Amino acid sequence: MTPAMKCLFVAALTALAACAPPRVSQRADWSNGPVCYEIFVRSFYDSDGDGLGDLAGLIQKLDYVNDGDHETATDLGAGCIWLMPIAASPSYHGYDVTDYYRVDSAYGTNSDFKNLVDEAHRRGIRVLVDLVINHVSSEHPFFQDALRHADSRYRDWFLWSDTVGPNNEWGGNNWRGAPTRNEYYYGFFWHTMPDLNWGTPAVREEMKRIATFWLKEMGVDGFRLDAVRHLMEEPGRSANVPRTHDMLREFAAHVREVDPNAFTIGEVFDSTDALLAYYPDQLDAYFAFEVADAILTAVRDGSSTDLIASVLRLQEAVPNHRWSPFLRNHDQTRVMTWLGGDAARAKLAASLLLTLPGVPFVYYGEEIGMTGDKPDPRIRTPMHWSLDPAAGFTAGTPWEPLQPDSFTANVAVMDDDPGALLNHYRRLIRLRMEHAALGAGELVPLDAGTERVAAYLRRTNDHATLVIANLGTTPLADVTLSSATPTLPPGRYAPVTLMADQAAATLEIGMDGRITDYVPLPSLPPLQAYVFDVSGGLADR
Amino acid sequence: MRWLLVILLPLALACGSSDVDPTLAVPAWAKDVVWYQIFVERFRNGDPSNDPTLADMEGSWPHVQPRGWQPTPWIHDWYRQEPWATATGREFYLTVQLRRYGGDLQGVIDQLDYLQDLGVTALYLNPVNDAPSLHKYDARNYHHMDRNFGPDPRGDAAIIAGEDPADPSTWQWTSADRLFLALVNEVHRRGMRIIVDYSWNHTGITFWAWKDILARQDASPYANWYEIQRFDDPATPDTNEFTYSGWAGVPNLPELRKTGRPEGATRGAIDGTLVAPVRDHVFAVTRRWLDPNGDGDPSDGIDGFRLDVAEMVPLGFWRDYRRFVRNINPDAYLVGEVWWDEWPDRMMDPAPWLDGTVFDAVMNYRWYMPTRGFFAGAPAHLTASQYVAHLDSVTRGIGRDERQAMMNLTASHDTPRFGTSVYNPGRYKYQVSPGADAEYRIDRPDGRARQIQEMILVQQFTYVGAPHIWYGDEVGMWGADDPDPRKPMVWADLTYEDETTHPFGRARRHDAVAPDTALHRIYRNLIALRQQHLRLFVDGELAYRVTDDARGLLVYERALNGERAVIAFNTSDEAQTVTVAVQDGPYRAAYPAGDMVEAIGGSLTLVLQPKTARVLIHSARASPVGSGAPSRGTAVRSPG
Repeated sequence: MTPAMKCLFVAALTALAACAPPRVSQRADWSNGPVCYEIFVRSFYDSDGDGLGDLAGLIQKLDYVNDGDHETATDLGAGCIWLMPIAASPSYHGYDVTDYYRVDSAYGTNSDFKNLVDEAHRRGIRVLVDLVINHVSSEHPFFQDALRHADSRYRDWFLWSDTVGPNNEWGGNNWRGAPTRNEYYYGFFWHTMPDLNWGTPAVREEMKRIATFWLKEMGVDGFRLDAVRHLMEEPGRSANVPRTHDMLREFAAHVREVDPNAFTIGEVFDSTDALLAYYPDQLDAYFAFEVADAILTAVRDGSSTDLIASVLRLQEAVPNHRWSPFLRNHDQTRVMTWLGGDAARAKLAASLLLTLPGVPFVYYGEEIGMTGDKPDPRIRTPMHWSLDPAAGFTAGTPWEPLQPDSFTANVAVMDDDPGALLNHYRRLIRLRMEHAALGAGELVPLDAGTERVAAYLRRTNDHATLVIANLGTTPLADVTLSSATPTLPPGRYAPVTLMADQAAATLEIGMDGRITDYVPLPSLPPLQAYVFDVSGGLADR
Repeated sequence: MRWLLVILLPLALACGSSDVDPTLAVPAWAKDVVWYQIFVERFRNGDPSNDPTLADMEGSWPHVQPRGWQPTPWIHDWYRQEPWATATGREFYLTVQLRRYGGDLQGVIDQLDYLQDLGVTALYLNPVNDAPSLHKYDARNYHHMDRNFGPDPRGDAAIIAGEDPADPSTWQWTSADRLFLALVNEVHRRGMRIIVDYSWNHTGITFWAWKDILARQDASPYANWYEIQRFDDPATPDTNEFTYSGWAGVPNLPELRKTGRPEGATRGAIDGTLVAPVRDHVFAVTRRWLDPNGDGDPSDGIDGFRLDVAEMVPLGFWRDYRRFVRNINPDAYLVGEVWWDEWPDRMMDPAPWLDGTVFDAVMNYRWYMPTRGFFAGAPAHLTASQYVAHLDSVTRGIGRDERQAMMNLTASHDTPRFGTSVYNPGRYKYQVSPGADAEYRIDRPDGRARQIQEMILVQQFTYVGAPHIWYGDEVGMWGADDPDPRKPMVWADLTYEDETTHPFGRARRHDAVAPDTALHRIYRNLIALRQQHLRLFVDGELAYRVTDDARGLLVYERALNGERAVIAFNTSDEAQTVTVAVQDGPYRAAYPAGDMVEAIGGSLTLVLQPKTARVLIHSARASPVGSGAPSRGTAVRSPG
């Protein structure tokens, strides 16, 4: 292909992308690795000055998440949002629900929520809501009824004991003294969060009814399911008991029946080993906590070994769109704090996250480098939008003080800085949408001869992308890539740079399809990642 | 009033009330820090693209715009005039104020590693508000950082021009403001503190309200903001009757208007306050830097203020100011400049400002004057017992908390440099420049001065109050009184011209300019010593053990919960042996670091070399001497 033809080809590809039907029509297709954005509504944007973020505020900021226009590069470009719990709850975080059929009044009304879904869909954003099915609030009327009346029809919706039950597998005890009678109820997380007894058919039916309500009445595209490894218990065992799998199977089947396109992703806060027991016939996907840790450790320690291994482990076991890499979530110290405020490493972590397989999740604020450490409210603080008072989050007093770096980790400030972390996220997410190999391709590990380098191909049938990153703090010269297995059809490839304006050497693939002694760049600067499209066919001829 | 509170506070606590007045207590952190004062224009040029231009300097003294002016190279021989300066035909002292070196906030950010390595834990920045002079005490506005301290002077000027400076709701954040906030955040991330200097007594003549007054006279809405005696009379177009008060008579620094002062009183511990619109403006600026993002949490803001010429602003204002500040940040530190009662003989008694309702501390020049008198033999020369009496007298009437939070300084932007002030043992702050005293030495201080400096530093870092370092003193910079203490910082990565020029063209020794690494090591070690035994040196009781006037010996002890430090000085020119009554046990030679010595029979005998200091530390927790045998070096066991 001549250079002119290549230009034409690239232009054609770009035009194709621009002419592609709106993504809303691809709602069910999770296999192209869309990026999801986790939002804590209370901290996102306050529309009415009461200091609490709300659904109307979120609607006003949807264009920030994705404006639905492929031509613009000013939005994040996320294809879905996960809202942390929004149902009625007495707590600030909402993980203890008192009414599953009603949006918490602090956030708005059910009708506000439906508006949100419409507005999101209009922009090609799918909406996932957090469903807390392991437990309810201790103030939930069913629990209150069960607590007060021995003959309550909700008695067997919960787990009771006359004596303190056995300790769990980690030596802790989750039995909570009832305030009304001399008895105990089981609440894995907290006394205000009594566990539901999933062994009771009526509980399962109620949870299905709630799922149906959100799918049919409220129009959501799926659920993030909280704490699913704790659904069932056995004496002395609180997590990953066999019957939990049965419960999830039944629940997921129901969701699929109601809406075959619905997406379910579960929180199994555990190792990949434990995770794999939740496939193939339960929820669609799960968060890959091990991959999250591996990315951050790789970036902090400068070693790619565990990172690639953790991804391959999942890729070899399940389809890539059935697991989700991320960096941190609302239960963990924020990325920037974890990385000691190192912006270069934060960028590198994003580069890895958004070029790996899976359905990646980004926690709100991560893209602007927000800091925050435990206790929990401090890792869920209000978003920094602008240089207005309270960082433009609210016209009133924010429910929780901002982070002290609200003037630098700030959307308006970063908007104007091409080198800012926010724009790095925007570029990477756009690349992932525009390059099928980055979204859907399998990962082919490449050997760089040093653990300091992470190098891999992402490859579909027609497209391939090369990712190479120096995880170390010193430049590396003449890093040489090779592969143990076939990678691409034989021929000569001219890599097209996608990140950082840097041309790579022509890649020659021999008859065995393997990459041998390929030096893409004479030097790799420290903490820098490069992405090249190597779909462009033969370099000459 | 104070006593009443002392009685009432525990009562309030006992009653479970949470209404303890947060405005009263001295912030605990302020007792624990080591201060480092930075004069931003002269600290480090981190961004050459923002260096001042003549236009940026317009409105600052001496109001001339020499042809060919340009920023002075950082490494320039201090007293050598630039070609543009020579061309004015004026002498050094009349052109040096036109110099700019381009120090900026990026330079401070870039050198935080250096400061952290030195061990300092709190920064005090001379004024950083937008102002045309090099010192920034002539504010162009209070609510922005200086345009030339940030990355985009022109862009910032445009932002500022778009505001109504009288209306805080229109205030924007300039690039310099944001860089400053990034500095604050980075300082906090490192576990350090930062305060900035403001003068609420006067502004510059380019201040927006003053300019409006100049244009509109008594029709200006700000006509009552300043101490104006008379406006121009339009009936007499040929004469300008406009008259006003400037700070210390300086017309460049018009004084803000006070009200309620006793008849004829202009300074000291007097009643009165700033007029209401000025007070409101000052409060808005203060809030802006204490809680910049306005979320009610001051963690993104500065940790306090150094308040310039505080005795010129009446107490009524300061009392309101303290309440205002401490209601935003209960942990904010306020340190006042309360200096001369009658220069150069008597300093002002700061007690009225330290009663718990005004400041937490003052710049403690009153510690340095007798300290210099004792160690440097400067007039009035003090013997050991006179020195002790003097220290006692200057702390009399000041509460324990305030004494511990006092900013003990050897030099500042307003004094000769520390080294030079002991190298020239004349009167303190009197004729301390070659212009006033032809014999005043402006060259590198000698070895004897260094020995005196080290003794003073040992006293400073083991005494009551938070030690302060004027930037560059730790690398041995020298210089007479203003402008000389404001030379550009001497950095290891820059190569400086030798100092060969005398301001009056006289012969002088040629001195190479480079960081004094040995002195830097002394500072670093003494800071580390204080940090390692922080509670002992902050909270420990102080008792004088030896005051030997005849032999020039001074020994005191700091003690807290079984931990003890013995600090011994020999100011004489001969080696001396001193026996100190102490508690028995092993003592570690902590400064200079050395062996363990054992005190037996209730005393310790130390040999002190001429003009040296020693610090020994006994720790209740320390294990006995490893070998079992006490060292017989310079310290020997007491004969009992």
